[in-house]
Amino acid sequence: MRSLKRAFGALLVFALALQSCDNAYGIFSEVQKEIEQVGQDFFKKKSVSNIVSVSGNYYAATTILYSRPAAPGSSWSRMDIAGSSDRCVYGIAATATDLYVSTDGGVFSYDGTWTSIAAPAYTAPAGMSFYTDGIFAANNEVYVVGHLYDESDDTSINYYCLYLWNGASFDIVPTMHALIFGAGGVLEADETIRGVAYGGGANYWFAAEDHLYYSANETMSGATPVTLSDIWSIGSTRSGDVYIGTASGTLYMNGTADSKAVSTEGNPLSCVVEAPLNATDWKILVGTEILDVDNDTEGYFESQVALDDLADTTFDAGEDGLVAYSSSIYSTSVNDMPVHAFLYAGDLTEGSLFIAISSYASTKTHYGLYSSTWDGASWSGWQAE
Amino acid sequence: MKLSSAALLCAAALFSLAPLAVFSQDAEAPSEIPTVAEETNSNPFLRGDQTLQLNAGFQIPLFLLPETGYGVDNLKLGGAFSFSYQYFLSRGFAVGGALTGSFNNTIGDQTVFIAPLGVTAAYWWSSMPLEFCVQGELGGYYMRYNKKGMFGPFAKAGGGAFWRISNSWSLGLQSFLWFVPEIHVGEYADLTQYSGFIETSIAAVYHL
Repeated sequence: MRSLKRAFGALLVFALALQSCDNAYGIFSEVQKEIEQVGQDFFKKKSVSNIVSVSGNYYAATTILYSRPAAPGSSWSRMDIAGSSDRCVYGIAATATDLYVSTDGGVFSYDGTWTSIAAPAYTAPAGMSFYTDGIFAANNEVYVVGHLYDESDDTSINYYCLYLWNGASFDIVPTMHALIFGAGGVLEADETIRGVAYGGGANYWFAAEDHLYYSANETMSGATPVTLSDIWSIGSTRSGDVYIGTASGTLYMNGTADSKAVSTEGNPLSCVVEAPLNATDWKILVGTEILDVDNDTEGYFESQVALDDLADTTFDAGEDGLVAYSSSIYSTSVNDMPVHAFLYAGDLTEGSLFIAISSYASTKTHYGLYSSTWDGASWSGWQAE
Repeated sequence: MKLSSAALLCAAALFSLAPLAVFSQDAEAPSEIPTVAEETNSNPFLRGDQTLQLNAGFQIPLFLLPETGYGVDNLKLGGAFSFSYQYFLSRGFAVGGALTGSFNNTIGDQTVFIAPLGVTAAYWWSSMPLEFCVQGELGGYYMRYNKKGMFGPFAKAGGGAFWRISNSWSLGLQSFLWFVPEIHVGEYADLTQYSGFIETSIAAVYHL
Protein backbone atom coordinates (compact mmCIF):
# COMPACT_ATOMS: atom_id res chain seq x y z
CA MET A 1 0.00 0.00 0.00
CA ARG A 2 2.85 2.36 0.91
CA SER A 3 4.64 1.75 -2.37
CA LEU A 4 1.35 2.30 -4.17
CA LYS A 5 1.04 5.69 -2.46
CA ARG A 6 4.61 6.56 -3.41
CA ALA A 7 3.98 5.58 -6.98
CA PHE A 8 0.83 7.66 -7.02
CA GLY A 9 2.73 10.61 -5.54
CA ALA A 10 5.47 10.31 -8.12
CA LEU A 11 2.86 10.08 -10.85
CA LEU A 12 1.16 13.20 -9.50
CA VAL A 13 4.44 15.16 -9.48
CA PHE A 14 5.15 13.99 -13.01
CA ALA A 15 1.65 14.98 -14.14
CA LEU A 16 2.03 18.44 -12.60
CA ALA A 17 5.42 18.90 -14.26
CA LEU A 18 3.99 17.72 -17.56
CA GLN A 19 1.12 20.15 -17.25
CA SER A 20 3.57 23.03 -16.90
CA CYS A 21 5.10 22.15 -20.28
CA ASP A 22 4.02 24.32 -23.16
CA ASN A 23 4.75 23.15 -26.69
CA ALA A 24 3.87 26.63 -27.95
CA TYR A 25 6.54 28.29 -25.80
CA GLY A 26 10.14 27.99 -26.94
CA ILE A 27 12.38 28.46 -23.94
CA PHE A 28 15.67 28.88 -25.76
CA SER A 29 14.11 30.95 -28.53
CA GLU A 30 12.69 33.26 -25.84
CA VAL A 31 16.10 33.44 -24.18
CA GLN A 32 17.56 34.54 -27.50
CA LYS A 33 15.01 37.37 -27.73
CA GLU A 34 15.88 38.87 -24.38
CA ILE A 35 17.14 42.42 -24.30
CA GLU A 36 19.26 43.63 -21.44
CA GLN A 37 17.42 46.34 -19.54
CA VAL A 38 19.63 49.34 -18.98
CA GLY A 39 18.06 52.27 -17.20
CA GLN A 40 18.83 54.94 -14.68
CA ASP A 41 20.40 53.54 -11.53
CA PHE A 42 18.05 55.59 -9.36
CA PHE A 43 15.06 53.70 -10.85
CA LYS A 44 16.66 50.27 -10.38
CA LYS A 45 14.67 48.12 -7.93
CA LYS A 46 12.63 51.16 -6.92
CA SER A 47 8.95 51.96 -6.70
CA VAL A 48 7.82 54.83 -8.91
CA SER A 49 4.49 56.05 -7.60
CA ASN A 50 3.46 58.36 -10.43
CA ILE A 51 4.57 60.03 -13.65
CA VAL A 52 3.06 63.18 -15.16
CA SER A 53 3.73 65.45 -18.12
CA VAL A 54 3.83 69.24 -17.81
CA SER A 55 4.95 71.83 -20.36
CA GLY A 56 7.30 69.60 -22.32
CA ASN A 57 8.80 67.79 -19.35
CA TYR A 58 8.15 64.47 -17.63
CA TYR A 59 8.17 64.23 -13.84
CA ALA A 60 8.40 60.94 -11.97
CA ALA A 61 8.32 60.34 -8.22
CA THR A 62 9.71 57.73 -5.93
CA THR A 63 10.24 59.34 -2.56
CA ILE A 64 12.40 61.67 -4.65
CA LEU A 65 11.37 63.79 -7.62
CA TYR A 66 12.99 63.23 -11.02
CA SER A 67 12.47 64.98 -14.34
CA ARG A 68 13.52 64.86 -17.95
CA PRO A 69 12.65 66.79 -21.11
CA ALA A 70 10.06 65.07 -23.30
CA ALA A 71 12.45 65.03 -26.26
CA PRO A 72 13.36 61.42 -27.14
CA GLY A 73 16.66 60.27 -25.72
CA SER A 74 16.72 62.85 -22.95
CA SER A 75 18.11 61.81 -19.60
CA TRP A 76 16.45 61.83 -16.22
CA SER A 77 17.88 63.88 -13.39
CA ARG A 78 17.04 64.39 -9.76
CA MET A 79 15.21 67.61 -8.85
CA ASP A 80 15.61 69.49 -5.64
CA ILE A 81 12.29 70.79 -4.35
CA ALA A 82 12.34 74.50 -3.64
CA GLY A 83 16.07 74.31 -3.11
CA SER A 84 15.97 71.34 -0.76
CA SER A 85 17.23 67.84 -1.51
CA ASP A 86 15.85 66.44 1.74
CA ARG A 87 12.13 66.48 1.08
CA CYS A 88 10.29 63.16 0.99
CA VAL A 89 7.74 63.12 -1.82
CA TYR A 90 4.26 61.80 -0.94
CA GLY A 91 2.72 62.39 -4.33
CA ILE A 92 2.73 64.45 -7.52
CA ALA A 93 -0.06 65.82 -9.73
CA ALA A 94 -0.20 68.05 -12.77
CA THR A 95 -2.47 70.68 -14.22
CA ALA A 96 -2.02 72.03 -17.74
CA THR A 97 0.73 74.40 -16.63
CA ASP A 98 1.95 73.42 -13.17
CA LEU A 99 3.43 70.52 -11.31
CA TYR A 100 2.21 70.02 -7.73
CA VAL A 101 4.24 68.05 -5.21
CA SER A 102 3.09 66.94 -1.77
CA THR A 103 6.04 66.42 0.58
CA ASP A 104 6.87 66.02 4.22
CA GLY A 105 7.73 69.71 4.13
CA GLY A 106 4.39 70.84 2.70
CA VAL A 107 2.92 71.28 -0.76
CA PHE A 108 4.83 72.97 -3.59
CA SER A 109 3.99 74.01 -7.13
CA TYR A 110 6.45 74.29 -10.01
CA ASP A 111 6.12 76.10 -13.33
CA GLY A 112 9.81 76.66 -13.83
CA THR A 113 9.95 78.31 -10.43
CA TRP A 114 9.12 76.67 -7.13
CA THR A 115 6.32 78.13 -5.02
CA SER A 116 5.63 76.98 -1.50
CA ILE A 117 1.94 76.50 -0.78
CA ALA A 118 0.69 76.65 2.74
CA ALA A 119 -0.41 73.25 3.91
CA PRO A 120 -4.11 72.87 4.61
CA ALA A 121 -4.99 74.76 7.74
CA TYR A 122 -6.50 72.53 10.31
CA THR A 123 -6.42 72.77 14.07
CA ALA A 124 -6.14 69.22 15.20
CA PRO A 125 -8.09 68.23 18.27
CA ALA A 126 -6.10 67.55 21.40
CA GLY A 127 -4.16 64.33 21.17
CA MET A 128 -4.39 64.19 17.41
CA SER A 129 -1.87 65.18 14.77
CA PHE A 130 -2.56 66.44 11.28
CA TYR A 131 -0.67 65.27 8.19
CA THR A 132 -0.97 65.81 4.46
CA ASP A 133 -0.75 62.78 2.17
CA GLY A 134 -1.43 62.25 -1.50
CA ILE A 135 -2.27 64.85 -4.10
CA PHE A 136 -4.63 64.62 -7.08
CA ALA A 137 -5.50 66.79 -10.07
CA ALA A 138 -8.82 66.72 -11.93
CA ASN A 139 -9.76 69.15 -14.68
CA ASN A 140 -6.95 71.48 -13.54
CA GLU A 141 -8.29 71.48 -9.98
CA VAL A 142 -5.83 70.29 -7.33
CA TYR A 143 -6.83 68.31 -4.27
CA VAL A 144 -4.70 67.17 -1.38
CA VAL A 145 -5.56 64.51 1.15
CA GLY A 146 -5.06 65.27 4.83
CA HIS A 147 -5.57 62.99 7.75
CA LEU A 148 -5.88 63.21 11.51
CA TYR A 149 -4.02 60.60 13.45
CA ASP A 150 -4.87 59.82 17.05
CA GLU A 151 -1.43 59.41 18.60
CA SER A 152 -2.82 58.26 21.95
CA ASP A 153 -5.16 55.67 20.58
CA ASP A 154 -3.71 52.20 20.52
CA THR A 155 -5.96 51.35 17.62
CA SER A 156 -4.29 54.13 15.63
CA ILE A 157 -7.34 55.29 13.73
CA ASN A 158 -6.84 57.70 10.84
CA TYR A 159 -9.48 60.25 9.86
CA TYR A 160 -9.02 61.31 6.26
CA CYS A 161 -10.28 64.48 4.64
CA LEU A 162 -10.00 66.22 1.30
CA TYR A 163 -8.79 69.75 0.57
CA LEU A 164 -9.16 71.81 -2.61
CA TRP A 165 -6.57 74.32 -3.82
CA ASN A 166 -8.35 77.60 -4.52
CA GLY A 167 -5.35 79.34 -6.02
CA ALA A 168 -4.32 80.89 -2.73
CA SER A 169 -4.75 78.22 -0.10
CA PHE A 170 -6.09 74.74 0.47
CA ASP A 171 -9.69 74.79 1.61
CA ILE A 172 -11.45 71.85 3.07
CA VAL A 173 -13.96 70.33 0.69
CA PRO A 174 -17.07 71.07 2.74
CA THR A 175 -19.23 68.24 1.46
CA MET A 176 -16.52 65.69 2.12
CA HIS A 177 -15.80 67.15 5.50
CA ALA A 178 -19.46 66.95 6.48
CA LEU A 179 -19.64 63.39 5.29
CA ILE A 180 -16.61 62.42 7.27
CA PHE A 181 -16.95 64.40 10.46
CA GLY A 182 -20.41 65.92 10.42
CA ALA A 183 -23.52 64.58 12.03
CA GLY A 184 -24.68 61.60 10.07
CA GLY A 185 -21.40 61.44 8.20
CA VAL A 186 -21.17 58.27 6.16
CA LEU A 187 -17.44 57.80 5.75
CA GLU A 188 -15.89 55.65 8.41
CA ALA A 189 -12.70 56.31 10.28
CA ASP A 190 -9.69 54.67 8.66
CA GLU A 191 -11.42 54.74 5.28
CA THR A 192 -8.76 55.76 2.80
CA ILE A 193 -9.51 58.40 0.19
CA ARG A 194 -8.70 56.87 -3.19
CA GLY A 195 -8.77 59.96 -5.38
CA VAL A 196 -10.61 62.48 -7.49
CA ALA A 197 -11.24 62.33 -11.23
CA TYR A 198 -13.05 64.48 -13.78
CA GLY A 199 -15.24 63.20 -16.60
CA GLY A 200 -18.14 60.88 -17.05
CA GLY A 201 -20.55 63.67 -17.95
CA ALA A 202 -18.53 66.74 -16.91
CA ASN A 203 -18.52 65.74 -13.24
CA TYR A 204 -15.97 65.62 -10.46
CA TRP A 205 -15.84 62.14 -8.98
CA PHE A 206 -14.65 61.45 -5.47
CA ALA A 207 -13.81 57.94 -4.29
CA ALA A 208 -13.03 56.55 -0.85
CA GLU A 209 -12.76 52.85 -0.03
CA ASP A 210 -16.48 52.27 0.26
CA HIS A 211 -17.97 55.49 -1.06
CA LEU A 212 -18.30 57.08 -4.46
CA TYR A 213 -19.77 60.53 -5.18
CA TYR A 214 -20.01 62.81 -8.18
CA SER A 215 -20.84 66.46 -8.53
CA ALA A 216 -20.72 69.10 -11.25
CA ASN A 217 -18.92 71.37 -8.79
CA GLU A 218 -15.28 71.00 -7.81
CA THR A 219 -16.24 71.60 -4.18
CA MET A 220 -18.43 68.51 -4.44
CA SER A 221 -21.46 70.50 -3.37
CA GLY A 222 -24.68 68.62 -3.94
CA ALA A 223 -22.71 65.43 -4.47
CA THR A 224 -24.69 62.41 -5.61
CA PRO A 225 -23.77 59.11 -3.94
CA VAL A 226 -23.19 55.97 -5.97
CA THR A 227 -23.44 52.63 -4.21
CA LEU A 228 -20.12 50.90 -4.64
CA SER A 229 -17.69 49.43 -2.15
CA ASP A 230 -14.23 47.89 -2.12
CA ILE A 231 -12.87 50.73 -4.27
CA TRP A 232 -9.13 50.71 -4.94
CA SER A 233 -8.59 53.44 -7.53
CA ILE A 234 -10.25 56.10 -9.67
CA GLY A 235 -8.99 57.85 -12.78
CA SER A 236 -10.03 59.42 -16.03
CA THR A 237 -8.82 58.95 -19.58
CA ARG A 238 -8.20 61.11 -22.64
CA SER A 239 -11.72 60.56 -23.95
CA GLY A 240 -13.30 61.83 -20.73
CA ASP A 241 -14.46 58.58 -19.16
CA VAL A 242 -14.02 57.92 -15.46
CA TYR A 243 -12.90 54.44 -14.42
CA ILE A 244 -13.23 53.02 -10.95
CA GLY A 245 -11.19 49.91 -10.06
CA THR A 246 -12.04 47.66 -7.15
CA ALA A 247 -9.81 45.72 -4.81
CA SER A 248 -11.15 42.48 -6.26
CA GLY A 249 -10.33 43.29 -9.88
CA THR A 250 -13.55 44.68 -11.35
CA LEU A 251 -13.52 47.84 -13.46
CA TYR A 252 -16.46 50.26 -13.61
CA MET A 253 -16.96 53.07 -16.12
CA ASN A 254 -18.79 56.33 -15.37
CA GLY A 255 -20.65 54.85 -12.43
CA THR A 256 -21.76 51.29 -11.94
CA ALA A 257 -23.92 50.60 -15.00
CA ASP A 258 -21.04 49.31 -17.10
CA SER A 259 -18.48 46.98 -15.56
CA LYS A 260 -16.06 44.20 -16.34
CA ALA A 261 -14.19 41.71 -14.15
CA VAL A 262 -10.72 42.40 -15.55
CA SER A 263 -8.35 40.65 -13.17
CA THR A 264 -8.82 36.90 -13.40
CA GLU A 265 -6.86 36.47 -10.18
CA GLY A 266 -8.84 39.07 -8.26
CA ASN A 267 -6.02 41.58 -7.96
CA PRO A 268 -6.76 45.24 -7.18
CA LEU A 269 -6.98 47.53 -10.20
CA SER A 270 -4.73 50.55 -9.80
CA CYS A 271 -4.82 52.75 -12.89
CA VAL A 272 -6.14 53.14 -16.43
CA VAL A 273 -4.80 54.84 -19.55
CA GLU A 274 -5.81 55.17 -23.18
CA ALA A 275 -3.17 54.35 -25.79
CA PRO A 276 -3.26 53.79 -29.55
CA LEU A 277 -4.64 50.47 -30.75
CA ASN A 278 -3.89 51.28 -34.39
CA ALA A 279 -3.73 54.34 -36.64
CA THR A 280 -7.38 55.19 -36.01
CA ASP A 281 -8.51 53.71 -32.68
CA TRP A 282 -7.66 53.84 -29.01
CA LYS A 283 -7.67 51.08 -26.44
CA ILE A 284 -7.27 51.07 -22.68
CA LEU A 285 -4.66 49.54 -20.44
CA VAL A 286 -5.54 48.60 -16.88
CA GLY A 287 -2.85 48.25 -14.22
CA THR A 288 -3.11 45.75 -11.37
CA GLU A 289 -1.67 46.10 -7.92
CA ILE A 290 -0.57 42.49 -7.72
CA LEU A 291 0.20 41.27 -4.25
CA ASP A 292 2.33 38.20 -4.88
CA VAL A 293 5.30 39.71 -6.70
CA ASP A 294 7.25 37.26 -8.91
CA ASN A 295 4.61 34.56 -8.49
CA ASP A 296 1.60 36.19 -10.07
CA THR A 297 0.83 36.12 -13.76
CA GLU A 298 -0.66 39.59 -14.11
CA GLY A 299 0.76 43.08 -14.26
CA TYR A 300 -1.50 44.99 -16.57
CA PHE A 301 -4.25 44.23 -19.08
CA GLU A 302 -4.90 45.57 -22.56
CA SER A 303 -8.18 45.72 -24.43
CA GLN A 304 -7.44 44.36 -27.88
CA VAL A 305 -10.29 46.15 -29.61
CA ALA A 306 -11.41 49.75 -29.73
CA LEU A 307 -13.31 50.30 -26.52
CA ASP A 308 -17.07 50.52 -26.90
CA ASP A 309 -18.50 49.31 -23.63
CA LEU A 310 -16.68 47.56 -20.85
CA ALA A 311 -18.94 44.58 -20.44
CA ASP A 312 -18.27 43.31 -23.97
CA THR A 313 -14.56 44.08 -24.03
CA THR A 314 -11.96 41.36 -23.77
CA PHE A 315 -8.80 42.15 -21.85
CA ASP A 316 -5.54 40.26 -22.28
CA ALA A 317 -2.73 40.18 -19.77
CA GLY A 318 0.30 42.25 -20.78
CA GLU A 319 2.28 39.27 -22.01
CA ASP A 320 -0.26 38.78 -24.78
CA GLY A 321 -0.74 42.46 -25.50
CA LEU A 322 0.32 44.67 -28.36
CA VAL A 323 2.29 47.08 -26.19
CA ALA A 324 4.45 44.29 -24.81
CA TYR A 325 5.41 43.51 -28.43
CA SER A 326 7.32 40.43 -27.40
CA SER A 327 6.46 38.17 -24.52
CA SER A 328 10.10 37.83 -23.56
CA ILE A 329 10.78 41.54 -23.52
CA TYR A 330 7.67 41.84 -21.37
CA SER A 331 8.83 39.03 -19.13
CA THR A 332 12.19 40.62 -18.58
CA SER A 333 10.79 44.06 -17.87
CA VAL A 334 7.42 44.86 -16.32
CA ASN A 335 5.97 41.41 -15.68
CA ASP A 336 4.79 40.35 -12.22
CA MET A 337 5.09 43.69 -10.49
CA PRO A 338 2.53 46.10 -9.05
CA VAL A 339 1.58 48.89 -11.47
CA HIS A 340 1.05 52.32 -9.92
CA ALA A 341 0.51 54.64 -12.86
CA PHE A 342 0.43 55.02 -16.63
CA LEU A 343 1.09 58.05 -18.78
CA TYR A 344 0.60 58.28 -22.53
CA ALA A 345 2.09 61.41 -24.04
CA GLY A 346 1.28 61.67 -27.73
CA ASP A 347 -1.45 60.99 -30.27
CA LEU A 348 -2.37 58.26 -32.74
CA THR A 349 0.60 59.01 -34.97
CA GLU A 350 3.36 58.89 -32.33
CA GLY A 351 3.88 58.98 -28.62
CA SER A 352 5.40 57.43 -25.54
CA LEU A 353 3.63 55.22 -23.04
CA PHE A 354 5.12 55.11 -19.55
CA ILE A 355 4.42 52.57 -16.84
CA ALA A 356 5.37 53.23 -13.21
CA ILE A 357 5.80 50.06 -11.17
CA SER A 358 7.15 48.69 -7.90
CA SER A 359 10.22 46.69 -8.70
CA TYR A 360 11.83 46.65 -5.28
CA ALA A 361 9.97 43.53 -4.13
CA SER A 362 11.08 41.49 -7.12
CA THR A 363 13.99 39.11 -6.91
CA LYS A 364 14.91 40.26 -10.40
CA THR A 365 16.84 43.39 -11.22
CA HIS A 366 14.06 45.43 -12.74
CA TYR A 367 13.43 49.15 -12.83
CA GLY A 368 10.59 51.28 -11.50
CA LEU A 369 9.87 53.04 -14.77
CA TYR A 370 9.59 51.72 -18.33
CA SER A 371 8.40 53.19 -21.61
CA SER A 372 7.26 51.91 -24.96
CA THR A 373 7.20 54.08 -28.08
CA TRP A 374 4.33 54.19 -30.60
CA ASP A 375 5.34 55.10 -34.17
CA GLY A 376 1.84 55.11 -35.66
CA ALA A 377 1.88 51.41 -36.50
CA SER A 378 3.61 49.42 -33.77
CA TRP A 379 5.11 49.56 -30.30
CA SER A 380 8.82 49.39 -29.58
CA GLY A 381 8.43 47.11 -26.53
CA TRP A 382 9.12 48.01 -22.92
CA GLN A 383 12.48 49.57 -22.23
CA ALA A 384 13.80 50.74 -18.88
CA GLU A 385 13.94 54.48 -18.35
CA MET B 1 21.14 24.36 -39.83
CA LYS B 2 18.96 21.40 -38.87
CA LEU B 3 21.49 18.98 -40.39
CA SER B 4 24.33 20.38 -38.33
CA SER B 5 22.16 20.15 -35.25
CA ALA B 6 21.36 16.53 -35.97
CA ALA B 7 25.04 15.85 -36.48
CA LEU B 8 25.77 17.34 -33.09
CA LEU B 9 23.17 15.04 -31.54
CA CYS B 10 24.73 11.98 -33.18
CA ALA B 11 28.22 13.02 -32.13
CA ALA B 12 27.15 13.46 -28.53
CA ALA B 13 25.38 10.11 -28.53
CA LEU B 14 28.42 8.34 -30.01
CA PHE B 15 30.72 9.98 -27.51
CA SER B 16 28.52 8.94 -24.64
CA LEU B 17 28.48 5.35 -25.87
CA ALA B 18 32.22 5.15 -26.40
CA PRO B 19 32.82 3.40 -23.09
CA LEU B 20 30.52 0.59 -24.24
CA ALA B 21 33.01 -0.28 -26.93
CA VAL B 22 35.73 -0.51 -24.33
CA PHE B 23 33.44 -2.69 -22.26
CA SER B 24 32.73 -5.05 -25.13
CA GLN B 25 36.45 -5.58 -25.68
CA ASP B 26 36.94 -6.07 -21.99
CA ALA B 27 34.04 -8.49 -21.77
CA GLU B 28 35.58 -10.76 -24.39
CA ALA B 29 38.72 -11.20 -22.31
CA PRO B 30 38.77 -14.38 -20.20
CA SER B 31 37.77 -13.66 -16.64
CA GLU B 32 40.50 -13.96 -14.11
CA ILE B 33 41.21 -12.95 -10.55
CA PRO B 34 43.35 -9.82 -10.65
CA THR B 35 46.68 -9.82 -8.92
CA VAL B 36 47.58 -7.16 -6.39
CA ALA B 37 49.98 -5.66 -8.88
CA GLU B 38 47.24 -5.45 -11.49
CA GLU B 39 44.84 -3.87 -9.03
CA THR B 40 47.25 -1.13 -8.07
CA ASN B 41 49.07 -0.53 -11.29
CA SER B 42 46.63 -1.30 -14.05
CA ASN B 43 42.99 -1.10 -13.09
CA PRO B 44 41.82 -1.40 -9.50
CA PHE B 45 38.12 -1.06 -10.40
CA LEU B 46 36.70 -4.55 -10.28
CA ARG B 47 33.35 -6.14 -10.94
CA GLY B 48 31.01 -5.44 -8.04
CA ASP B 49 32.69 -2.22 -6.93
CA GLN B 50 30.39 0.72 -6.36
CA THR B 51 30.88 4.48 -6.12
CA LEU B 52 28.88 7.47 -5.01
CA GLN B 53 29.86 10.78 -6.52
CA LEU B 54 29.09 14.41 -5.76
CA ASN B 55 29.95 17.17 -8.23
CA ALA B 56 29.69 20.94 -8.10
CA GLY B 57 31.03 23.44 -10.57
CA PHE B 58 30.48 25.86 -13.40
CA GLN B 59 28.10 25.63 -16.32
CA ILE B 60 29.43 27.43 -19.39
CA PRO B 61 26.95 28.11 -22.22
CA LEU B 62 28.46 26.90 -25.50
CA PHE B 63 25.84 27.28 -28.23
CA LEU B 64 22.16 27.90 -28.96
CA LEU B 65 21.18 26.75 -32.44
CA PRO B 66 19.65 27.84 -34.70
CA GLU B 67 20.51 31.43 -33.86
CA THR B 68 17.14 33.19 -33.97
CA GLY B 69 18.03 36.18 -31.81
CA TYR B 70 21.00 37.27 -29.79
CA GLY B 71 22.23 33.70 -29.47
CA VAL B 72 24.13 32.09 -26.65
CA ASP B 73 25.47 35.46 -25.51
CA ASN B 74 22.14 35.93 -23.72
CA LEU B 75 23.06 33.11 -21.32
CA LYS B 76 25.50 33.87 -18.53
CA LEU B 77 27.99 31.62 -16.78
CA GLY B 78 26.06 29.39 -14.39
CA GLY B 79 26.45 26.57 -11.94
CA ALA B 80 25.90 22.82 -11.91
CA PHE B 81 25.71 20.13 -9.29
CA SER B 82 25.03 16.41 -9.43
CA PHE B 83 24.74 13.22 -7.50
CA SER B 84 25.50 9.89 -9.11
CA TYR B 85 25.90 6.20 -8.41
CA GLN B 86 27.94 3.70 -10.38
CA TYR B 87 28.25 -0.09 -10.30
CA PHE B 88 31.15 -1.84 -11.98
CA LEU B 89 29.99 -4.61 -14.29
CA SER B 90 33.51 -5.61 -15.16
CA ARG B 91 37.01 -4.36 -14.61
CA GLY B 92 36.97 -0.61 -15.25
CA PHE B 93 33.50 -0.48 -16.73
CA ALA B 94 30.65 0.88 -14.68
CA VAL B 95 27.04 1.78 -15.25
CA GLY B 96 24.82 3.86 -13.04
CA GLY B 97 22.53 6.81 -12.76
CA ALA B 98 22.88 10.53 -12.17
CA LEU B 99 20.62 13.31 -11.02
CA THR B 100 21.92 16.71 -12.04
CA GLY B 101 20.84 20.33 -11.73
CA SER B 102 22.17 23.38 -13.49
CA PHE B 103 21.21 27.01 -13.72
CA ASN B 104 22.22 29.88 -15.95
CA ASN B 105 20.99 33.42 -15.55
CA THR B 106 20.04 35.31 -18.67
CA ILE B 107 20.79 38.81 -19.83
CA GLY B 108 17.23 39.77 -18.90
CA ASP B 109 17.71 38.52 -15.33
CA GLN B 110 15.72 35.35 -15.79
CA THR B 111 17.05 31.91 -14.91
CA VAL B 112 17.19 28.77 -17.03
CA PHE B 113 17.15 25.74 -14.76
CA ILE B 114 17.83 22.29 -16.21
CA ALA B 115 17.47 19.08 -14.21
CA PRO B 116 18.63 16.01 -16.16
CA LEU B 117 18.11 12.46 -14.97
CA GLY B 118 20.07 9.85 -16.84
CA VAL B 119 21.83 6.51 -17.00
CA THR B 120 25.60 6.58 -17.19
CA ALA B 121 28.27 4.38 -18.66
CA ALA B 122 31.87 4.98 -17.67
CA TYR B 123 35.29 3.49 -18.06
CA TRP B 124 37.76 3.99 -15.21
CA TRP B 125 41.45 3.27 -15.03
CA SER B 126 44.23 4.14 -12.69
CA SER B 127 47.81 5.22 -12.54
CA MET B 128 48.14 5.42 -8.81
CA PRO B 129 47.56 7.71 -7.12
CA LEU B 130 45.69 9.17 -10.10
CA GLU B 131 42.42 7.77 -11.42
CA PHE B 132 40.77 8.65 -14.69
CA CYS B 133 37.40 8.11 -16.26
CA VAL B 134 35.57 8.78 -19.47
CA GLN B 135 31.86 8.84 -19.14
CA GLY B 136 28.70 9.23 -21.13
CA GLU B 137 25.14 9.83 -20.00
CA LEU B 138 21.79 9.55 -21.73
CA GLY B 139 18.47 10.50 -20.28
CA GLY B 140 15.89 13.19 -20.09
CA TYR B 141 15.70 16.62 -18.59
CA TYR B 142 13.12 18.91 -17.09
CA MET B 143 13.79 22.59 -17.79
CA ARG B 144 12.24 25.72 -16.20
CA TYR B 145 12.31 29.29 -17.41
CA ASN B 146 9.91 32.15 -16.77
CA LYS B 147 7.37 29.85 -15.09
CA LYS B 148 7.30 27.63 -18.15
CA GLY B 149 8.55 24.06 -18.27
CA MET B 150 9.81 21.62 -20.86
CA PHE B 151 10.82 17.97 -21.01
CA GLY B 152 13.34 16.65 -23.49
CA PRO B 153 16.13 14.20 -24.21
CA PHE B 154 19.56 14.79 -22.80
CA ALA B 155 23.10 13.60 -23.42
CA LYS B 156 26.44 14.44 -21.99
CA ALA B 157 29.95 13.12 -22.44
CA GLY B 158 33.30 13.83 -20.93
CA GLY B 159 35.68 12.66 -18.29
CA GLY B 160 37.76 13.47 -15.28
CA ALA B 161 40.95 12.98 -13.36
CA PHE B 162 41.01 12.16 -9.64
CA TRP B 163 43.50 11.93 -6.83
CA ARG B 164 42.99 8.93 -4.57
CA ILE B 165 43.34 10.54 -1.17
CA SER B 166 42.34 7.48 0.89
CA ASN B 167 40.93 3.99 0.52
CA SER B 168 37.45 5.43 0.35
CA TRP B 169 37.78 8.86 -1.22
CA SER B 170 38.99 10.41 -4.43
CA LEU B 171 38.90 14.07 -5.34
CA GLY B 172 39.21 15.45 -8.83
CA LEU B 173 38.14 17.62 -11.70
CA GLN B 174 35.66 16.74 -14.40
CA SER B 175 34.52 18.29 -17.62
CA PHE B 176 31.48 17.35 -19.67
CA LEU B 177 29.83 18.49 -22.84
CA TRP B 178 26.07 18.75 -22.40
CA PHE B 179 23.73 18.44 -25.32
CA VAL B 180 20.23 19.71 -24.52
CA PRO B 181 17.83 19.68 -27.45
CA GLU B 182 14.52 21.46 -26.92
CA ILE B 183 12.12 19.63 -29.18
CA HIS B 184 8.82 21.14 -30.30
CA VAL B 185 6.42 19.34 -32.57
CA GLY B 186 3.62 20.12 -35.00
CA GLU B 187 2.95 23.75 -35.82
CA TYR B 188 5.51 24.85 -33.23
CA ALA B 189 8.36 22.78 -34.67
CA ASP B 190 10.16 25.97 -35.63
CA LEU B 191 10.70 26.64 -31.92
CA THR B 192 13.02 23.61 -31.73
CA GLN B 193 16.47 24.60 -30.51
CA TYR B 194 19.67 22.76 -29.70
CA SER B 195 21.86 23.91 -26.87
CA GLY B 196 25.26 22.95 -25.61
CA PHE B 197 27.00 23.59 -22.33
CA ILE B 198 30.38 22.78 -20.85
CA GLU B 199 30.21 21.59 -17.25
CA THR B 200 33.46 21.95 -15.34
CA SER B 201 33.24 20.69 -11.81
CA ILE B 202 35.01 19.51 -8.73
CA ALA B 203 34.10 15.93 -7.89
CA ALA B 204 34.27 13.84 -4.77
CA VAL B 205 34.06 10.06 -5.25
CA TYR B 206 33.26 7.70 -2.39
CA HIS B 207 34.23 4.09 -3.02
CA LEU B 208 31.70 1.85 -1.29
